[in-house]
Amino acid sequence: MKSLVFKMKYLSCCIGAVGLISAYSVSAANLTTLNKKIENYKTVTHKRLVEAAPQDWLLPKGNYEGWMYSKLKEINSKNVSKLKPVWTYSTNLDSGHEAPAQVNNGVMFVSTPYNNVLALNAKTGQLYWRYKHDNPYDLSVMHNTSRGVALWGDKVYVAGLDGTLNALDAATGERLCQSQIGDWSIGAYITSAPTPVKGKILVGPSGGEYGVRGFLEAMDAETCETAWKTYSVPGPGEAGHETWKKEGKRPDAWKYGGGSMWMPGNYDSDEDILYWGVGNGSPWLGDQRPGDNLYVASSIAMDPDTGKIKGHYQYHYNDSWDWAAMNAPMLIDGLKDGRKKVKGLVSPQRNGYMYWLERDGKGKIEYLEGKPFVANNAFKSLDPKTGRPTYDYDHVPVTGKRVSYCPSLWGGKNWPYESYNPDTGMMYVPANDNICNSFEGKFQDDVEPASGQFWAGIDIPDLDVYLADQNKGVGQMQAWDVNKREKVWQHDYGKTMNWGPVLSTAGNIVFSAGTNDRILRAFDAKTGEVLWEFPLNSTAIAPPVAYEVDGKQYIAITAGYGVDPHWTNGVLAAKDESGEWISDVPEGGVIWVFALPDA
Amino acid sequence: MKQKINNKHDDIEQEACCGCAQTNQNNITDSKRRNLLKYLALAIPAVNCFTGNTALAAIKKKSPESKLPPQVGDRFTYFSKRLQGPLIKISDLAKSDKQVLVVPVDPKTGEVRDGSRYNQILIQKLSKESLSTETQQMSADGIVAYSAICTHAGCPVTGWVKEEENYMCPCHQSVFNPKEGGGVVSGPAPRKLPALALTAENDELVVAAEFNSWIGFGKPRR
Repeated sequence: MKSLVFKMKYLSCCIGAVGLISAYSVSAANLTTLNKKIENYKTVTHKRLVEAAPQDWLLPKGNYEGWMYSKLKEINSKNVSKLKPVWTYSTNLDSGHEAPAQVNNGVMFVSTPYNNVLALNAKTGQLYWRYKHDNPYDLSVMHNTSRGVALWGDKVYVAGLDGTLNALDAATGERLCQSQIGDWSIGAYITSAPTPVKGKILVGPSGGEYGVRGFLEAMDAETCETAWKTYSVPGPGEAGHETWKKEGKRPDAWKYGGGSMWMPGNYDSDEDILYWGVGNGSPWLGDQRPGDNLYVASSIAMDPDTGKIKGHYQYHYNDSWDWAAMNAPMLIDGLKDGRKKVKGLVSPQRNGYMYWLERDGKGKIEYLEGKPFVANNAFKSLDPKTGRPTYDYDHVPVTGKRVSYCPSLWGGKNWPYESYNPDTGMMYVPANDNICNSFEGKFQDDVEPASGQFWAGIDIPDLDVYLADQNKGVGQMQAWDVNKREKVWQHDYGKTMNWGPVLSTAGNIVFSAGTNDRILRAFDAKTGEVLWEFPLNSTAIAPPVAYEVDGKQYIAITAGYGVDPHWTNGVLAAKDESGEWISDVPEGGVIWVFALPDA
Repeated sequence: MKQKINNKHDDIEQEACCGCAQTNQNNITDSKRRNLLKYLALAIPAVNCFTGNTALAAIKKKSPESKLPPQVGDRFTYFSKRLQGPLIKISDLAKSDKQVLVVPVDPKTGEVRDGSRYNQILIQKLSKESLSTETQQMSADGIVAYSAICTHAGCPVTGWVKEEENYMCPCHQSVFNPKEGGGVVSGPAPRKLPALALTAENDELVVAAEFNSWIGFGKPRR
């Protein structure tokens, strides 16, 4: 009886809420500027996503395996020096542009800061339509960027900073339906590109600095109804919940323990298993949430139909450094492990270690090997069988004491994608070495978690970011032989961080930008020799992509500095005494498209 | 064209639904809210023509008075749900080492005006002598009040730069000087934090005038 009364109370008040909703209805018609309708749009199917034909760039990372690799080779290491811009398009927006140009049969889609989506003719740069998402007027988020769209069927899906996931008509840009995934007002805003898998669109919000419990949600692509939702932090009764010890001042730390799933995942289409990354713990201080804290700082395997977690690998336990494991590991079959070949997972992690893992096809993930690719002074060693690190507690942040550690909270690499090139057998990693930070952990009890307030357990002005060696630089491009597990070459960028996602191609080229000199570079994939450079209007921190229209290959990248890259550059430039650090990097989004001159 | 909105949602605060359920202070999803969603889902087909964010905002809607900007005569209480309740008195504020996040309160009804993010306010007691003339005129017994909403991108400016006694936004590190009318010291913020003039009545901190500038970022709202 009590239960019935309780439900009736909810029912009556929700009817009231409906009345309130009606007063706030708005038309979606004004959100899109239609310049020209796209005719004969090519439907995106499961088969096309799995095949990843080289003329298209349908997924943010090019293929479901997460390779950032193109089979196109018209542009190659012999002729790349002739590469010229063929068209540009200004997004008319500032701040950090972090989305790849995604191309479907000659139509390009680019999402931007503040949640615009541009649909362009990929050959000419002419605009088809622009969608401007209706974020709330009082929206505030830490990172006002967007990392791409999902293409499925005849629709384009884009997440909003306001926590929504929106389905747009690909031909016109008109919004057709929408789902509220996260609540931005508590800190659960979305920057991730959604991922399309078999008729569902998957996306998770940010919030690891706001005391938000992370999750991934699947939305039905047709109806915008929720298909499933899986939390990255297990609740009572779920496996892994015991790793959140009910000790200390916050025995319920799991409720706001972070673990945001804020980057797109990868997908094994043969075995029908998702592989997703899980972010940092919240607050950053591990001593405020005792235990290993699954699945924080882990890669997890999931069933795409149900969201069930089938397996996991935690890179480091009780994360205390903001070393999120948000990027899913790349799927590489035929990975050598001694004399045998295995289905592998390879991932350069924010904690500064490179990991080789094995997947068994059922979701189980096993450790093969881990090696540091930048200096990490918090890990003494990794267990040779499990990879579990042994910590140097002098460099593990705690509450009430100032602690320094390397790499910095932005990690040995941050979200910018690495690339795997099956032709060279190498992995190309945008790395940052020689950068460290220190802070004193705070027990924040002046505001509640998930109240929209910064809740990382530190006071930002107290954060000191510095170079371990003032005479050395930071940003690097590293090339590793995936099977030998050895570094083959390294390019040092000098006094700049590297925030550039990487593209490698069958033309033996590695493309990447991300440095404070605004330059887009082409490296020889085998040797690391710089073959071509081009100064962009602003530093590009978006993924470069390759595509083909009418038999001609193009390289596209969107420039537009902002968010953390811009801030960290300013901090480090202010401390620089060498005069080598470029502090004045302009903002402003421009899509750049390059090609070889016509013969 | 009408849009279909899936606005279920587990992250809705219970109190938002007409105050008919107990507040979950941590906004943590629980089984009760799932019950709410079941019934909300029943109602959704009737409202398919609404956009998601406005719909969510509506569900969370509080009374119109709670969304009003601070009114002359308003008092203050703490933003923190744990601390919220008592009105803030002058004598409560020792010369503190950090700004305090507060929200206005209608003294007649006791309504806490926390229905808008734009009502988040920073208050702090500083040395009177350290305040500029203009800031002194706005202050009460050395206590200053500013909008907590950063003029750059709207984040709450909760960072405290101890050495310089400045405020820093944790999102993009704009720094403001509370002793100089909230002026910009550094960072991307284009203009100072709006200030709120204060006075005192019976030891209670009282709003003396409206904010001296518009709240938020971008262009002023019409």
